[in-house]
Amino acid sequence: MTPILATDRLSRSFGGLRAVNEVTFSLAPGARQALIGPNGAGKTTFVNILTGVIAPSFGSIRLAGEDITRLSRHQRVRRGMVRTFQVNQLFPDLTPLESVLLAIFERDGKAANLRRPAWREEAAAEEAAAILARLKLADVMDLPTAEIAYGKRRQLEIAVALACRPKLLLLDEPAAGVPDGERQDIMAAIAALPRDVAVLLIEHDMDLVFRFAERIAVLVGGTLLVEDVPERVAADPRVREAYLGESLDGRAA
Amino acid sequence: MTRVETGAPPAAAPASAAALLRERARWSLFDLLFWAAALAAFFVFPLRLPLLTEIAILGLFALSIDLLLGYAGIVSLGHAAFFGAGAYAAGILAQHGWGEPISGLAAAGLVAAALGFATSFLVLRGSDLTRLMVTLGVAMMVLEAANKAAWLTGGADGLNGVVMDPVFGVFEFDLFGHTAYWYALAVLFLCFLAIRRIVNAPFGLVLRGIQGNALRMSAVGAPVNRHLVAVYTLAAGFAGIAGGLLAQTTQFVSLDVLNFQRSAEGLLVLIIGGSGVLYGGLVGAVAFKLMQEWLSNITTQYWQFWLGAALVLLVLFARGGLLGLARRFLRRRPARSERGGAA
Repeated sequence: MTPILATDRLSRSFGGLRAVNEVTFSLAPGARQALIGPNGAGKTTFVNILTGVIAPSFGSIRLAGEDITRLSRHQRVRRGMVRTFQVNQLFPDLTPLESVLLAIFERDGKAANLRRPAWREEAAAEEAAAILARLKLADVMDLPTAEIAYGKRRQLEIAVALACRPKLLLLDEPAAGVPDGERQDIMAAIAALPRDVAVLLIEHDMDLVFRFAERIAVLVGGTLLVEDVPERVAADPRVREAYLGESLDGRAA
Repeated sequence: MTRVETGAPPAAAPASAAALLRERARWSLFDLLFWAAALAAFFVFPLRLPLLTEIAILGLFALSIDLLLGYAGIVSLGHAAFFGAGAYAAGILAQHGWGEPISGLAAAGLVAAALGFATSFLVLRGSDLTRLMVTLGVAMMVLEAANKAAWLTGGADGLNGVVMDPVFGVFEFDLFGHTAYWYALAVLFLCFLAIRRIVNAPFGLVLRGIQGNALRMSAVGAPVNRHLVAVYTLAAGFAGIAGGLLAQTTQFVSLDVLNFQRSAEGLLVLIIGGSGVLYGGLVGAVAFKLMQEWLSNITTQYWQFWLGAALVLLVLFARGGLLGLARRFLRRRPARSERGGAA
């Protein structure tokens, strides 16, 4: 089967520093994969290369078999690679309903419509409401995003991404900054993601990683150290060494 | 975790998502009052019609800036370039014998939109500061070009010999400005309807999304640059129609239509009224012109001082301009954003 994502010797240097070094990596459709690594391991750079924020110095990226290395950010999204952000990137003045609807309009190529009132797009509005309900946002969907609780905004990050109908979803620390009491909601939301969407979870929280991931890739110093099932990754002495002082089976230190 | 998720107060039936959206796009009493007042003004101030016409034109110009700044968040100090392009297009056509006003106005809009499209690529990149400088620079270039092309524009002497045919072949432009006011008001209303439609359409959501977070826009697959080109072109076109109106109703065009003062005035009017709500530019135009009239009657030479003072106070203490102020006064509780719909 064609992998949904395949990188070939993907590399990026900043000056003399190899932030990402010949990462060859692939994901099957519907995969549940985590990408972990200590701080400064190159995870963020890797995601930025994948999504087109920065260009690779070397190597290529294929999405469902198509070479997307040179495509712009929004073209990658249109082809099914969608991300969420570690630091909320939402529309503060729009309501959650409008935010999700906006993503749906862009996805369906209706965004440039100047004439038809948005409220007439009833199917799109119902779809948006359904996505919001799935992420427990139904009760706040008509409030300005800036006024809803932080935990809800983290949920909205995922809702907006889902509205793009991804084939591959990159979740960049979805639970970052969420208080313990509300982590369950985020975890439940991630666990309930549709099975046909491949998910790459970039995360510090080992609890979340080991609960969710079926495979784990470990990035250290810009190089892919291991890529295996959780039990073997946890037992790998090189990984333990990289995470010196951090506990792999509990919370990250 | 057992919270009820119906999303509506228990008394009311759960509102559908489409109904929620529709609620924000509804016409309100304010709409009716505003346009009724505009009609009534004709009968109440029959001797001040030239001023009222000026207000309508300034309002349309500010409305076109609102589309750009209030919705898409693009700052511009050079919007006069498009106003002026429209004014000269309509003026030159009429001077050369094409005096039919409505097609002349359409031409004004198209010429300005074409200029907007051509220069839109310059404002795609960069920060607000870059955009301020680029738009300012473009407007300066257009002004100098018009000055230099005296064979076409009349240069510093202005464009004379603009003669308009009657509107619909019936209504002559008269000395008292009756026709001019009805014509300007009708064009303003039609442009208002068009812009209202645009901001209530999916594209309006796109514009607010770009202003809110351009990074996230590209992350939901939006071709942000293409959207920016579109809105810049549209805003230029509406500014051009406003300029065309000025040329047709005053039957004269001078280089003033292109100068920095005009760009700044449009921006000022919008900020006074409140940006990001359709009526901001219109209410601002009324307030600005009335304040100008009133102050210049009291103190002929120093009225700009007081205008400046009013602006400073308004910006510092009344975010959202006059409309923001009015809304807070009416509600007395945290205002919910109500873009796109009524003020």
